[in-house]
Amino acid sequence: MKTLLAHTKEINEQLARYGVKFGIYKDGTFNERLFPFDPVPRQIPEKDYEVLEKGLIQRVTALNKFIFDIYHDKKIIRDGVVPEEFVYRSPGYLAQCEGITPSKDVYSHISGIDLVEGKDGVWYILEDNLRIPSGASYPLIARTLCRRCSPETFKRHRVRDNRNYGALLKRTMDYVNTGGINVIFTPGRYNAAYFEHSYLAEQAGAVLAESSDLFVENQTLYYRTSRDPVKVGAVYRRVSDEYMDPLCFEPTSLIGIPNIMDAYRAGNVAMMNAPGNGVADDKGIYYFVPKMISYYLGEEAILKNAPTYLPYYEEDRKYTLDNIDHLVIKDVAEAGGYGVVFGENLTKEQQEDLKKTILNAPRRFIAQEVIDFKDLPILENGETVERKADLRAFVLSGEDVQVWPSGLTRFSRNPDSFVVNSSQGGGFKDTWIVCQ
Amino acid sequence: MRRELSFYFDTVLNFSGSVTEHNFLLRCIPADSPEQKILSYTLTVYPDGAASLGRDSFGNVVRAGRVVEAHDSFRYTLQGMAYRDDSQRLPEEAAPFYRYASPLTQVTPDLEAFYASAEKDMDGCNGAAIQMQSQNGVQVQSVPGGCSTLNALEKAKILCARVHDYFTYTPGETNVMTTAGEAFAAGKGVCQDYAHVLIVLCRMAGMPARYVSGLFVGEGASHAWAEVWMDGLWYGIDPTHNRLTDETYLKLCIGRDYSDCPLERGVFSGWAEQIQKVFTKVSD
Amino acid sequence: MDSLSVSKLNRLFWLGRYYERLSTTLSYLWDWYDVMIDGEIDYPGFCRKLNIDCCYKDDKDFMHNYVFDKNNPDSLRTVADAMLGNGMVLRDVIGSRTLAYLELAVMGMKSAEESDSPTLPLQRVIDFIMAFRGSYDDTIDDENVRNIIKCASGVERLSLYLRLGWHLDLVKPEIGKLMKRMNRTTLQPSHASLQVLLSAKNPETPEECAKLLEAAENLFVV
Repeated sequence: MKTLLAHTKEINEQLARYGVKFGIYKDGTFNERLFPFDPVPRQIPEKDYEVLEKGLIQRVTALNKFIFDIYHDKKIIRDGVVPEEFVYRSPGYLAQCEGITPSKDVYSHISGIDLVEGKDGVWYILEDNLRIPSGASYPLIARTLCRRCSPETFKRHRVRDNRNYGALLKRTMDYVNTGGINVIFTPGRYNAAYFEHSYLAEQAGAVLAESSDLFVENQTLYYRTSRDPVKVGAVYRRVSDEYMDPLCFEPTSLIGIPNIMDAYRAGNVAMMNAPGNGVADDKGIYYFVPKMISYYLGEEAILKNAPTYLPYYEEDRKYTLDNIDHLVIKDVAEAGGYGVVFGENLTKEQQEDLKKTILNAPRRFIAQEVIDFKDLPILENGETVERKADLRAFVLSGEDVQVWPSGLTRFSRNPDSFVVNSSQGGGFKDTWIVCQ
Repeated sequence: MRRELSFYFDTVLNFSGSVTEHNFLLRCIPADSPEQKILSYTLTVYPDGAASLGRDSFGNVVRAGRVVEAHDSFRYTLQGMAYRDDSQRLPEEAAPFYRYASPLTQVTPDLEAFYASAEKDMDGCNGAAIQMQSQNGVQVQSVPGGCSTLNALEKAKILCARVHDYFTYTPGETNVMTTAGEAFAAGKGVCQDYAHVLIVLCRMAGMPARYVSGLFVGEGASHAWAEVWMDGLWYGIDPTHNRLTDETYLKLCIGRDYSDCPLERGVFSGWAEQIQKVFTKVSD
Repeated sequence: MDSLSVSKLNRLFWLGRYYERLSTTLSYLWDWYDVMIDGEIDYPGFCRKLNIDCCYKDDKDFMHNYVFDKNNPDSLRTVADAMLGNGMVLRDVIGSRTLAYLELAVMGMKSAEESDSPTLPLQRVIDFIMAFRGSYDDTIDDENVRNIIKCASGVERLSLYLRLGWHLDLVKPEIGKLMKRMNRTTLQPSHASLQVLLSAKNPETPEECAKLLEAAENLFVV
């Protein structure tokens, strides 16, 4: 490990050379900065990883079945497992997707499941990201560059190779492809994750396209070229649902593709991930995932949720109000680290206000026990300090459900913060699955 | 009463400049159902290209198209014959999303207060007789007191009368993006706004409610109303005219609110203002 | 897939023009650092020839702001950013390895700005652009794609030579190279421009330069 750290400077130079950047809007202007990389990897022993892998496959399998069910027969609602208002009041539920069956029945092709490791060594699921989870490109390129800068390190440590992500992505796209080329659809160069879009296109051998490069005719998606248009069979879109099709969703969207929903519904193109997935990664629905696993798979959930309370249920509401001083309260409608309040940071008055807000709209909130994360060492000005970190595992669903043997470890640079979201200034680490 | 309707629906969009790469989606082809058999129809679209037919999640027929070449107007004309008989309706389930707020039918405090006051008529048993014009506009129907026994449709009628009385029909004050809350606050609007507000109130009362775009016997513009679901059947209710719909109404498309089912929606390249002219004629 | 989208074709073309503008202009100004040691530079004349605002206080201000100021829309730094911006959206076409040379060129501009002897880091910028050109030529299989960028760079070079009245003896050979490359692409040249360029000699008068410049600039409409 020391040899790797000794090469920190070279690694950072390599990251700059390859333009490993992250865009941030501040005060209305767009800036790109290098995504801060910490060379100390998160190491997960292979035997622990095997448990994670099983648990993630199980979870994503159930989530895919849930989304299919919600947009078709809704059995889980009829059977009273998930209260219907958690589905129909979720901003991620899209009535426009009712009855659509995506290619090969896959909804969440690329799932980003966020986990933390508690001090007790237990992994907890923090949230599921089934819409357009980003981040795989960063550890992917970091690994390649670290190996280049410090080959001895990787001779000494046996680390599962993670450089197959492009191939995994390509396999997933090929599997659902309805005939035609694979496209990665980006909102454009001024998107926070533009580096990722372009890098994944290169790695997966897909064409990177923007709105003006694509059009729909006769319920078929085409890539516009200087010669004849080329049919698109799978589109890994990095544009959110509401902006995807101005003729189906937000009519003012300029970054979408008119009538792509019509082509998708007709089964002529695979959309990755499927629109409407947001119904399953809602913070309110999170509570029900272990129940989904037993409902659809007849299995006990292998990976635990963080202990969560739904103020919607009377018993949980009472617990939440009584224990607000040590719970974390999350607004289910917010994302990206926003709408998260730690009760202990509030004054008595603020706690009372929050209680009132919860009582007024109990369905809008979930309450969770604060997990005592295991801190990870990071290098700061040449010294090692401990910081909060989470792990985003990437699970790809195609012919089978596979976990990428790596992941994005994000850490907070602020010693007092639990929020590790990259849009809030954190950095990232590589994640090693270490063979014994 | 069974009727055969002949319908004609013509829309012209004039652009102030020329536009290209025009992608559009039409929802004006009426769905064929037991109570509304489409005996024949023709749809002409000009200019037109790459036409395709499909269905959306609300069951509407969608007709897509794409015109690449420059043009400065767009016209679609629908005409045909339909056989209408509401007694032929078949029981169906109401999709659960028709019970929940949609983009243009969010509940606001104003609407909540309005609903609370209307609720007195429905549950308070103050015996207020609700007058409603029936189909031919002559007969006066009254809902008796003892309202705890009111069924969903009777409640919807009360709410419909309330909405009708509350609103002042005023074209030009609202547009297609206006929410129920905004229209309600203004107290003015057109059939779309009446329908949105009634839908919000019916959903507050716990009944599935949906938005209908369509035509009715006579000449003029296209129309919008609401439908509420009771015991397996959808009932049309028209708050603009404070009446239940009948076989003089022809349904073109449905949704949770207007934004789910505009009769025409398009996007194009080019800076142009557009002026829309609509003419409809339905006769029996 | 062997065909590019229209928007990528456009990006590719402008990438070619910007890298050529950056490297050729840097080469032109290269000597000025030497001239400035014991003499003066004609920067107002330079601005006039390129038809850009002459908003500089003195020689030193010009050499700093025109080269490095990223808020100056005419500056070479702005050209470098535009070059990289067009390159970034072509990562799937040109590849990360080749694209990296554009990143390095822009980083080179930044470090030259901070240096008290900018000529050496600027030399590196030109080196990186040369490396980009080599890497590009070496890795792109499609002859059309390979030559489009060269056509754009040829147009830009001609344009700069003719505007600056520099290397006028090389104009005819440059036109010859451009014509050969053009024939290996799907680019549709303007007929009128083509006539002028095909019959061109090395220009000797400002009028001849202007005529050729117009033809070169209008050769391709991308």
